[in-house]
Amino acid sequence: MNATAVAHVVAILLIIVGVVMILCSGVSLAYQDPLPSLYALLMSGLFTLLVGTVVRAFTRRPLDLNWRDGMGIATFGWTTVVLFGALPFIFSGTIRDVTAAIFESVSGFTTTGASVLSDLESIPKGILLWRATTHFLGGMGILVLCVAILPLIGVGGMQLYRAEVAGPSKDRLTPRIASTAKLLWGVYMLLNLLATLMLRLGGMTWFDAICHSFAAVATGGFSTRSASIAAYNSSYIEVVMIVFMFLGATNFALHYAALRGDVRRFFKDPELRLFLGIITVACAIVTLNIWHRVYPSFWSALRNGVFATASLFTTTGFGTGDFGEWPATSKVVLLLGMVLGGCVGSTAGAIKQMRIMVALKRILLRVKIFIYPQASIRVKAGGQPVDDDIVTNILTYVVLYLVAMVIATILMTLFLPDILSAMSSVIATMGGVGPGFGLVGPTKNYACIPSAGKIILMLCMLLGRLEFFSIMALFYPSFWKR
Amino acid sequence: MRVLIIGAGNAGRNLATKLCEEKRDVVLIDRDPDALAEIQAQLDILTVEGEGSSPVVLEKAEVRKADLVVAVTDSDEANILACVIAHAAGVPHKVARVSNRDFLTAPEQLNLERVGIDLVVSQKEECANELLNILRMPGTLESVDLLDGKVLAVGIRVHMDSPLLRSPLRTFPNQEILRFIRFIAVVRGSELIVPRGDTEFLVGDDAYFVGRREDVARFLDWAWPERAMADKVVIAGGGDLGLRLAQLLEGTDKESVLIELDEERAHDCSELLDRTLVIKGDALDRETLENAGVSKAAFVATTHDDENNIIACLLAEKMGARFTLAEINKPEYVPIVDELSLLDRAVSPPLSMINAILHFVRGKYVKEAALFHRLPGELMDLVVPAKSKWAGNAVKDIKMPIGIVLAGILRNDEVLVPTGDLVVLAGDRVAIFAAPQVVGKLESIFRR
Repeated sequence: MNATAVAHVVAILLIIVGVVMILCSGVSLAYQDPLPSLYALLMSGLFTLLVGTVVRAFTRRPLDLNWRDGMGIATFGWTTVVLFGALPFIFSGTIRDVTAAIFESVSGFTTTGASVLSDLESIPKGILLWRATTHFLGGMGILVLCVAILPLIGVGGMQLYRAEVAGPSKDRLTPRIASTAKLLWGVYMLLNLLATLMLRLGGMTWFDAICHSFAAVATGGFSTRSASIAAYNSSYIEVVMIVFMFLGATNFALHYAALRGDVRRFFKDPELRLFLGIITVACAIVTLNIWHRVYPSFWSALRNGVFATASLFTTTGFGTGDFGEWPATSKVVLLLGMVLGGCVGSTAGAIKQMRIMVALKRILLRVKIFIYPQASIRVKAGGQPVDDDIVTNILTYVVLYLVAMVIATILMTLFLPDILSAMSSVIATMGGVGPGFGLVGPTKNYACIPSAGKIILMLCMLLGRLEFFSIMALFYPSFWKR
Repeated sequence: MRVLIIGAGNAGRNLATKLCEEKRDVVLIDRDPDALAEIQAQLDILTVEGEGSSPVVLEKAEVRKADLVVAVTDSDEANILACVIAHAAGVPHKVARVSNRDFLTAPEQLNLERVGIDLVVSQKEECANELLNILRMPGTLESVDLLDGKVLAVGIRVHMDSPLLRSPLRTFPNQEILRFIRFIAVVRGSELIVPRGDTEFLVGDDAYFVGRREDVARFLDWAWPERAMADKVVIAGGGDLGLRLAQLLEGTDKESVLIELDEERAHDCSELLDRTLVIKGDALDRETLENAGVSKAAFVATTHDDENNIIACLLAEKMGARFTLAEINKPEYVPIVDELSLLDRAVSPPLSMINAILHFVRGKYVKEAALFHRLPGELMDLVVPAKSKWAGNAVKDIKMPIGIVLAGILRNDEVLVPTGDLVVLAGDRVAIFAAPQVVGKLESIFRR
């Protein structure tokens, strides 16, 4: 790994983050926030910018980045960015505990939405905006943003892109990665813009509309209200949120195709169809399960059931009803959705539908081979054969994900009293969802977990967002050799 | 510009690399998924797996969006078919690689241009021409024709006894000679230096300069009086390249000898050649080389085997050959062979052909472009458009990005040396060297 090259690109990321912080401080000024939080944002921004500029000045611009550099940049870039992203919370005094502040920042950038804050209405607007902005930056990926807006060298850009946009998606919208990254960010911005307008029409203030669209399209989950979406008590807003959470969890290549007039690809895409199917079934189960038992009227059962299912299956994590108090069947279904995740090439987290689909098909084929030992069989996705290498990678990933989940759950039982809380805290952070069940349920938050537990969950969030391999590679000694 | 390349062999891969460096959109088609995966890991391009001459695969690669299709697989027929389909799809420019010379020499009515193929190139043909050029300018690392052959760009290695080492360019003893040639680049190790007045040469530098043919010869006589001259050329290997080179040499005043191992092929060669002596034998055999009279001759190894070619050159050099040249098919070998100084020059047919294709790619605003094997960057031959920032300004007033050197001007068939006071006019043809990082900038200066 080329250390100076990695430092150089990480410095560029810091410059971007610093500039965005300073922009947030402008909003803070406009909303006449208390001076300490305004200064906090401004000082954090200037400090981040300064560090970025200095490191950038003292390192050489890389002529070429290899695959390892890309992974190094992804891991170190994300770690550095989340550390600096915690500064506004610390400086403003919003979160006094440093670990908790970093937790909030990691949770924001990884679009998890697990929070340590409770009384959101008392928090200054600038800080809330920064909190939502971490979702926005992390959603499509800050490295992808970097590739899109900075004329980095072609090969280097590709390595950055591949390190951040992991997963089995081979969609390349254009031959050159820089233009693909531009298109992806363009589509992402467009979705955010639409979401903001639609939410504003539903009666939200501009500020709330922007923050919630950042959180919905990035499938994050930070709200500006303590009661989350329930605070608005508007079915229109809920429908809009469901639509944009779903669009955020859909492969962005499909959005691009649709924008170019090929809407049919939406309905032909096997992964999206599977995702839709699973969500529909889950909505039905949850709604029927909570009808009578929690909500006497069918309509409120449907409204709350569908919202919670969409919110958790897209790994967003907004809440309307307190699904922590729902019956066990609903909880299991929702928990399962938090493990499955959205589509590849989207802002959603967790294992992702494409992998689930390929893994399931592989298992079924295994059974078929058991019956017909001489059969020659290929795994296919949407009529296209999937390379055996890719199938193996996908199975490895699924196993790795589940093993990591089990290990982290065992560790979390040291900090949380019951298995449900421990397990759901891991599932909710690794999958980028946010709220879990029990002590980390939708009406509670992560503040109660001790620092060591928070650190484990932060690692879960980063591993889940960067899809394990680039972080794990750092623990291989040969990775560090040039 | 979107370029569709068919065939991920040596030629396809190197062409993709070049075009990728210029930030063009490249789509590469090949049958072999492993080869594609390897290239995809290195280059920022889109790859499509499949037969390049299949309409289905071409459709998948969105051939209709392409501005240029370059078919460089090993099969002439597949290349031509792919280009014909691209023509049907309305692609404006098509380039096909062929190995059968019949396609190059076909009468006008049967020409491939008639089915819409703009450029038909052959690796061997391009390479043979390059070899001939080197043999005409012995002792140079490489030489390239510019401005209709009126100007020559030449690279030489600076040896220990070279007069170039005496002082920086500005205070050179023989300014008279320097006035007519222009240094465009110095390669020191892996570093590219753009020469200025205070540039000093070091032993082992490769110096590249441009000038009129006669001025270059005069300069070489002064800078390197004892450079190797050879009146005789011994060619090892009577394959397409060796045979073609021998044919070309028959048009010059040099004597040529061709060594071919295979009896039947040797027979065929002697049928096609008049003055050349064809010897049946092994070029790795001392006695055969002695019979061919390799001592004090120039030696060119063009057997199909890269390793054999290198060994044959070593042997020939040991036996007193003045100058040794080898055909190296794997472009990756070229820098290794050069670094180890195993032989005087390595030429690579794929690179020679890519040169020809790149000339064509830039055809819109550049009349011709040349690539050196060892010098990164490009030499271009451009016409100054009327609206450009350059027209009507004196050379010294033109703000040129660092890395761009104005090497020569052709006006009314007359070569002018671009001194500071010379005014560039619209319509002038200029030869320009551009270092790799500024190649793209030229486009903005010269685009109409």
